[in-house]
Amino acid sequence: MIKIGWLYPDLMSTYGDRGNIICLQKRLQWRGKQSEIIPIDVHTSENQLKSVDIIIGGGSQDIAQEIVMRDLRGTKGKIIKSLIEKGLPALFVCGAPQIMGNYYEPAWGKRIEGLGIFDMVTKNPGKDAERCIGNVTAEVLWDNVGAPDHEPTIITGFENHGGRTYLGNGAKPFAKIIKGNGNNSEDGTEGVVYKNAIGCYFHGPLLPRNPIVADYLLSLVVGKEFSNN
Amino acid sequence: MRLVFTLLAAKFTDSIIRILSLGSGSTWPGHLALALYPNILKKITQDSDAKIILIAGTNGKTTTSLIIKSILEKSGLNVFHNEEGANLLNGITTAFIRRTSLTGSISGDVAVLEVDENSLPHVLNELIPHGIIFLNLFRDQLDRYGEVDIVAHKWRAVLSLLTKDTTVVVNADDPQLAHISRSTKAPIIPFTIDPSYFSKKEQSHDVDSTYCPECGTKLSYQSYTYSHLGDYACSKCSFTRAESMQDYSHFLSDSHLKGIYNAYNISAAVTLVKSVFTSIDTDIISALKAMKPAFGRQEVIDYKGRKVLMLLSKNPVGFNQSIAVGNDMLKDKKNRVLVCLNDRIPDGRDISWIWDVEFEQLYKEGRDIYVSGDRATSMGVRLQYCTETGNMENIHVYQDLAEAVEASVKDTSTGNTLVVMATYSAMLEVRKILVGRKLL
Repeated sequence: MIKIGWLYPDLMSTYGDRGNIICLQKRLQWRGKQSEIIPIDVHTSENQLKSVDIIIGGGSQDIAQEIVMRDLRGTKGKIIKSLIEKGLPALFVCGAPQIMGNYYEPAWGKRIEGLGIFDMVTKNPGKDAERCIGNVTAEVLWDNVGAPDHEPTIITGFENHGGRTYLGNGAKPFAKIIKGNGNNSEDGTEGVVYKNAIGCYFHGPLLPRNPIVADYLLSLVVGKEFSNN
Repeated sequence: MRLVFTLLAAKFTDSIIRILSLGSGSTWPGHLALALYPNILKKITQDSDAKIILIAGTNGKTTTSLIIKSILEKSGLNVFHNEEGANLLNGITTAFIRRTSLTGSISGDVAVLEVDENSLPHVLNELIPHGIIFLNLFRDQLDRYGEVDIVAHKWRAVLSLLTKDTTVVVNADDPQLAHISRSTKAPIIPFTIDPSYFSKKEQSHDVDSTYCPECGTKLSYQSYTYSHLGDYACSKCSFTRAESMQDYSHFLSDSHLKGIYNAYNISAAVTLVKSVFTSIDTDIISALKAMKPAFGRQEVIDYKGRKVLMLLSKNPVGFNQSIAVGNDMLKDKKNRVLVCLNDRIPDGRDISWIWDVEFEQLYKEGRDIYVSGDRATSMGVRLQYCTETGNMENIHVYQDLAEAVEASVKDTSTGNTLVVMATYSAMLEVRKILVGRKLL
């Protein structure tokens, strides 16, 4: 039984982020493999959290993000960080990468400290600044992901974020923007990679829209043979 | 003089657009008038005796407006409204200009106006309504409206400006709306629906506001009607549902409308007409019996010997409610379903939300599902992920909408019903194919 850890299903699922969970479960099912969802929320025990095979996180509204951070600042955040250090596969889309970074400065209110898993910072230039909204096309940087032999992959999605993200030296971009804004509409980068954890501004259903990325993540979970099926 | 000139110019534009049957005809006259005379709405409404009713909310604005208009007309009042879709400041201005003489006086007793979520603050800057309904607040077109919390933030600010001259009718079962309505000095009348609708014990996926707006604790619900609407209370602070609420949902059985969401629409409309006006039950019942659905909202169109039931479905909560109504129809195995997804400006450019809809409920019996629209492929993929094996043999994807309509109609037995669930612009297109002319 493969255990899919889903970060705060009712707080971090702003726009179709559930699509990534459905995609992983069905792609496993179609190949005869069973999975179950472990919600990672205020009720999750440490042992449950440590048992997951992959972590998936979606977007949240600013207010929900505060509630999430209050809970993650305890031992839960430390466990997630150590799991990812050990190479656990993870995907964070939309707003989730922001709280996995060093800090996030929202449109109003004070700076929110992140978990520091990704060496990056996110700043919202103010509530009157234009949001980055629209369809995005990008090319996956498989070298950074750790799969240099992977065939070239163009991914598509939709972005909708107020914050601008800047990567530090300890993190690499996940993809190179072909069309759209990406991390900050300045440096042409999209998303972030650290070990087997991927962060991406594409929000919502990244995986069903780009099943190659889904199968890559699943191959890390169930073994190399998976990606060839 | 400037007012006369503005009205003349706007009315002239309006008649040209009408004569030539140009599109978006309901927005341009108002647009022009606002450019020439920015405070024209304030000017023409402040000295008028006409009562103004506003309807705000994510889902149900058009139907609720129509119910109110029908009841008030039955009571003998002269009512005007803004055309569906023209619910921004310019469309609302057009509605007034059509009813305003060159001397600036309004002919009509009541203006019933549906208002776009983001336009509500601008409209309330210009006029003072006698009544305003807050129906619900769900996630909808985040690329256009931003997050639900942002809309709530804006509404809270305008509510705090209202005075005792405005009666606020608010959905007691929506925790966020109930909370922001407390910021006003205006009289508040909370409404709900019959306890028998509170049948769900589990939270569904399509919720937005299930944490206490006062202290951030997870709300505890006794039961839900749909989405985050229900009987809630905070376990930590004193925030809870209103004690005294109006409920007129029993009038649903007097109408041709179906679904829990229409129980809310009717309860809201009747609460308003009974509090701001003095409508009597016999007028309410005969108005509801005679009322035809607004176009695309459970409207039935006869086509090639079949009935086509149009269910406008614009966002996750709306789509889930359409699926509930549709599944009821699809119990008859000779009925069919067509799902149409567009991603044009009125639909919202982002279609990620289809993953928040319980299409598994629609697919559950492995029934045939016809799919079309500009994003037919994406919709097909969503339905593929409802299947046990990945096999799409029951899912019929057509890139061409006319072909999809013909194929699904043909597959529907004569005399039976084709259920169409469509986003806004797709609904207009299907309607055009069925009726043979453009309506808007």
